Amino acid sequence: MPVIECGFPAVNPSPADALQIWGPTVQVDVGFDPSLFGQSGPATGARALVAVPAIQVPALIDTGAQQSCIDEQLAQQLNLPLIDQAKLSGVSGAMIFNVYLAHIAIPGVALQYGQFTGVHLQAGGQYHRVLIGRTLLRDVLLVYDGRSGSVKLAR
Amino acid sequence: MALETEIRAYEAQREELERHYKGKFVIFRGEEFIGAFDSLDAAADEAVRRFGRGPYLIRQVGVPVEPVPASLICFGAF
Repeated sequence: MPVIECGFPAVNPSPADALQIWGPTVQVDVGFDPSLFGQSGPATGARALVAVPAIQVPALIDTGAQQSCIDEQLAQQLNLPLIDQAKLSGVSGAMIFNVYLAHIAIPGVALQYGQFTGVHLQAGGQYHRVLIGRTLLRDVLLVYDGRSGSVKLAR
Repeated sequence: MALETEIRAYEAQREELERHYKGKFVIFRGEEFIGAFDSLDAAADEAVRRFGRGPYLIRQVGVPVEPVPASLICFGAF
């Protein structure tokens, strides 16, 4: 069973401080593979041209979020298929968010594909490029030890 | 605005879509209604097969938009 360390147990001087500051962090693959959708089998022809090779980026494990989100700048950089826009109201007024087709994979542990909202992480100065929500976490084991700065993630 | 034509077309037909296709995933390409599908997978597969990277709108009829994670408010990004 693959176990991924998502904390900072080796960081000096204080792993606990590092985990408190950065939060549980894991490298994920983000891309778009048309063959994951539907029953058409491996992507060939026009479908293959639409495929977006996955790149690896840091993700924050966000148990406060139901859905996973992708950084808007990353989504545009990857040229993910844009399929909708959502107008949502927040504390600073209404904003429009793009919605993309994509997949997010924690290698060897979890894969989610479907629609993801583009959110402003990089533009807001955040290190992480993806927020991993509970939908992606529903089939995994997550153990958070704030005292040692360690977070274990396993399938 | 991206998808402006598609979203306007969806809104113009929203009542009828909700009457006939509530819960299904519909595709709009320009002003044209392409079809309704039982799942996002099926709609995405069809949209990509026919129109590649787009533009096209895929939306689940009559389902409210998912809220943005509360952590984004803490980040100051929203």
